[in-house]
Amino acid sequence: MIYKILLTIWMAVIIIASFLYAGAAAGFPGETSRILFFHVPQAWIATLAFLISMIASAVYLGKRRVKADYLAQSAAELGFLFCILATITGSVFAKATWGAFWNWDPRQTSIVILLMIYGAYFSIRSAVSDPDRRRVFAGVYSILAFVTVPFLVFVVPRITISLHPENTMNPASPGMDPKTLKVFLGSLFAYTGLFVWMLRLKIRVLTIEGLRKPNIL
Amino acid sequence: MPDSRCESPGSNTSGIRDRVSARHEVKLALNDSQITDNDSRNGGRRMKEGLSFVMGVNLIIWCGIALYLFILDRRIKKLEERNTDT
Repeated sequence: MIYKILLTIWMAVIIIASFLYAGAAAGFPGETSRILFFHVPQAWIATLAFLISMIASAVYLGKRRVKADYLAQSAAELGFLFCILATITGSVFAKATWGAFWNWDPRQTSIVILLMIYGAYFSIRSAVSDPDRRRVFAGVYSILAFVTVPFLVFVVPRITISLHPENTMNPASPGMDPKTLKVFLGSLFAYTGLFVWMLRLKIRVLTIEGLRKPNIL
Repeated sequence: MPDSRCESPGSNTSGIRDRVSARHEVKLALNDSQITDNDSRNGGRRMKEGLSFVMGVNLIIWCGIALYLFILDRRIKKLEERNTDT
């Protein structure tokens, strides 16, 4: 319980610091660069969640533990949610900097493909009625789906010409202000904590539902 | 004050070179707009007011999400206790 209260306070501190403590990055209109503190952690959580889903699916296929399937399903759902949030915040940034919410930039196109791939994961889960077969199909698909994640998130936007800011927003770049870096890392930490909280809640819900209706889940 | 917004580069289909030059134009336009914002006192004040508003909205949204998660946590706990009792 204490970590949840601390996380609530920490996230509020990060929100205040991202607007009052950290400065706006040069080369972006007005204060738009502050979206870095929200958009990038959301994308990071989406990638992390898909990775967890893939590992949990592999564990389920190896050991046939239902808890592993609950973890895989929960992580995939949260990954999908954070991927949508990253897409929305990215579109807001695109409107402010490029003049349009959507212009089929390689980064935008690859995130849409990723959303479609993980959308199909939920279709598979809802299409198969037998719980054991559903878990196996979903597990295999989750592993195959994750193969595309590094390619779509890291490779495609870098081998094609994209308007998406890379160096200016990259924490490893020497141009990043130390204050910005502090808030950015704090935000990554806060979002990871939030993800863990949500993931545990979702697993607990699935466990209760599994106990009540064992044939459905 | 120059308009910082420009045409969507994705709509220009005349090739990679056009996209690269469009990117440079975007950056130049953005730099110009930032200088004017910083120089203009009224513009700066307006920007700060807007920033406080966005920060306030963000905080309210976060408080709402956190409250929802706490309530959800408590409800799930009750359901878990009920399940262990039965």
